[in-house]
Amino acid sequence: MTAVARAVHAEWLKFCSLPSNLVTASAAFALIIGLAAMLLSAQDGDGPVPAPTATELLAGVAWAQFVLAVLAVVLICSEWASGTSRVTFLAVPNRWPVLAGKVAVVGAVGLAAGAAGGGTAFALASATGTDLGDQPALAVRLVAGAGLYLGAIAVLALGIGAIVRDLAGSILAVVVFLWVTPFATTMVPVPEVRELALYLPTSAGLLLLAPDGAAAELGPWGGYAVLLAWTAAALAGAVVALRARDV
Amino acid sequence: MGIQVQSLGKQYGRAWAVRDLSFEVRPGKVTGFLGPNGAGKSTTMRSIVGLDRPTTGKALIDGVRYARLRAPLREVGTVLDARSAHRSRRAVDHLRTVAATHGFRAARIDEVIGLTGLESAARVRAGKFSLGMGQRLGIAVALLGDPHTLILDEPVNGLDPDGVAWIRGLLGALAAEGRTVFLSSHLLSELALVADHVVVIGRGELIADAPIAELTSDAGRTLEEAYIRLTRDAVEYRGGDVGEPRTGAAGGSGS
Repeated sequence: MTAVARAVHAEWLKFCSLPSNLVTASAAFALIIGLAAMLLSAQDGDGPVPAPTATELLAGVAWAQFVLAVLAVVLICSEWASGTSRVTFLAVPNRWPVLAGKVAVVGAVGLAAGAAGGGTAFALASATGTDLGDQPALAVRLVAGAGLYLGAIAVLALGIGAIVRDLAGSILAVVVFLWVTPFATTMVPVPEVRELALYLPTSAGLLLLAPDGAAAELGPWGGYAVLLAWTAAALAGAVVALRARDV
Repeated sequence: MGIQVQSLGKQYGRAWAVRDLSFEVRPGKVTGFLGPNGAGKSTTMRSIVGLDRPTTGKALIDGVRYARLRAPLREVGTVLDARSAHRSRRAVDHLRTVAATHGFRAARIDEVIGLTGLESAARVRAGKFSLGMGQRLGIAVALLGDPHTLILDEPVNGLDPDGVAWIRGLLGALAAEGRTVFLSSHLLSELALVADHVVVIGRGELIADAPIAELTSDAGRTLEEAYIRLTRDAVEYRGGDVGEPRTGAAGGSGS
């Protein structure tokens, strides 16, 4: 256990000692509150632009996930791109605790950016006196969900990065798997394909941020469980790849 | 004790970088590791410290496989590359991240910074480092755990004359304390000043494993002459002869 705790500490120091990581993580947070602030300021009461609904308020999460996924991929792939992988795995020859440390870091960063971003967005709404429909349970789910969703997406991207290893290839794989595939499958006019596409990580995971009642039969937490299953699968693949391959 | 390489083989694709290589590196002296470019020196070193998975055979350090060491940096210090820190990370932060994996105290970081003469560069980002400064940082990382075994791939590469003299003194002192010191180098005259023993490989196979004194008395006068004679048939990349310049038109395409 101490080996894992120390690996988490080392990965946290790595994360904090590169200014670009802090800028990127802050950008994810800023995207969420920036978009919320824009929606709140654009509403004009009785005019043509209505107040955003609670779920619309968090539209920035869909943008922030790109930023966090790229951050996660960079965090793992830069080990090989920058040459630090040798030092890293000389210190931790078991290898998997390094991955555990990075999971803890990107998971926590995603969780914090999402929950803090979501919480701030709702605080902004109440400060501007915007009526979001008075559904406290939904608000709690959305704020917690923004954090949980972004944390899981970041960890999933990390796993893909550990498997692919090459930075450009990993970013391409993440973008294709998480965003192009769900979009492309909606254009396939076969009902079975569209149904299966609901189980893709982003499609299922975003159910956690959907309005009450709008969720498909999976439900918000069922959808999130599907995303977690994908994340676990990617991590399992990453552990196997790390163990089997040369550094 | 020391390092034991036993029937080590490493295959990349279909080519063998190292094949059935066995030798031993003993504590209490400096052992040089020589061979032409592409001979498999780096592959052997990477296999010893568990970065490469050997295809056949194994390598042990004091009787244990590197990957099974619970606190590897307390046992083995390794420098494989002068560029081992992220270019945007300050040197001291690089040392902190490594120290965190073993829970080394902060004072030890200051000690190795002092030992390697990096005081004025500790807060500089590693990307601004010269090759020699990178080597010093790598050596600082290797010394963090005060290890009993040191494995160094081309550690003098890029060091200034001061640095070369410093590392010669450092390695000699470490070996005199009974530690195992194993280093590769192409600078044979420099190596002859510090090493007691050499292991020579070519095309992934063992060519010689002997005290320097023995090689220089049997095969040639200097270590360089002995080395060139030993590896004559094992050089993969050889430069052309510049003695007789060819004129492209008269000679056609060189044969």
